[in-house]
Amino acid sequence: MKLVENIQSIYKRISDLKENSRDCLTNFYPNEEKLDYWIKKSILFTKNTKDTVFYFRKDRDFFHLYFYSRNKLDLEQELKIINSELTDIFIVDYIGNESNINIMVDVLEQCGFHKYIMYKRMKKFINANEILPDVNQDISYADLEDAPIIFSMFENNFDRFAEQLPTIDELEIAIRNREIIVLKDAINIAGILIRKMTPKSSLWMFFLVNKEYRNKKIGSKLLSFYFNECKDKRITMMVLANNYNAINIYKHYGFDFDGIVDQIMTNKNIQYEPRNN
Amino acid sequence: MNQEIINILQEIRPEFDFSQNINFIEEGMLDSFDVVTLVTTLDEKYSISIDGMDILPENFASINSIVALLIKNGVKS
Repeated sequence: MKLVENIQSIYKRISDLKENSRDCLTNFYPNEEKLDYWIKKSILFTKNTKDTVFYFRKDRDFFHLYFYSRNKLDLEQELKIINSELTDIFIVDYIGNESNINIMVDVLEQCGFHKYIMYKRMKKFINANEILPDVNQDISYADLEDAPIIFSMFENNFDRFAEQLPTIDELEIAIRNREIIVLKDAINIAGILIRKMTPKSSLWMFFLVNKEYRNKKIGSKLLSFYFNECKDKRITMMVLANNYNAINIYKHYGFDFDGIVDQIMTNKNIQYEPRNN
Repeated sequence: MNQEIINILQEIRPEFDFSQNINFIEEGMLDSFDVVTLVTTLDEKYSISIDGMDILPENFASINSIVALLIKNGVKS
């Protein structure tokens, strides 16, 4: 594995692979902002073969594994080598349409990867004239001093392999960008909701009510605030495919599936343990 | 060609009006996954292979920028 030193090398390599090849296999959808951050933090590594490039992103005690290949056989061979020669935990996210995702999932399984958990994307469009509950005045934007507490909430309630958990730095950036809304009492953060907003859409990223504050309408208050922000916008979010309680709640709020799924796979036989249902 | 592209975009995101003269990326009408879907659809429809270096948000921000990208990749306007 070699450290990635600049974004241009990534674009150049993908461009070379894509040249004259229309059937590339990939789970790598570069986002310049994120790539920049990973490169600056020296947490992005690469491995090249003739027809495939791999990118490895260090995260806590494991690596996220991304690939871009123009040759299925080469990809399979190299995935098997990675799996047999390296002892690290690798997590592969494969996002695609529910109808055709199994083609790539089968390839990964043949190379020694195991299904870990699947997410499904849900969407909802909130019309500008939709009548929503009133906004609770106690909702506020998170402060920078909340970052360590929120980080700890994430570590204790979400799965590090499956959830793309933010680092403290990323939480501080999100706080500065006013992407985190919180409901606090005199002592604690009762609940948080993290979202990215654009004029026409919103990506709902994380939502958590602390255990001791559940069944106290904290979640409803956060959602009312959020949905009021999202008038005339499309909201998208990922939900665990087998979390039927959550799916039913989101359906109650008007969300439905849009056919996009995210299959999380790992090279180790690790079992997913639900923690925040 | 403009109408063909509008139709493709409308299939990907039926809730938005892509005939408006606004920035699709900044407005949040297309996200990164939509862009990948769009690239695949354009590759298939026009029998081209959009260069990986060109899969940048600014190339998908408007009908005009998408048309320019297609022409650069050999599609006749």
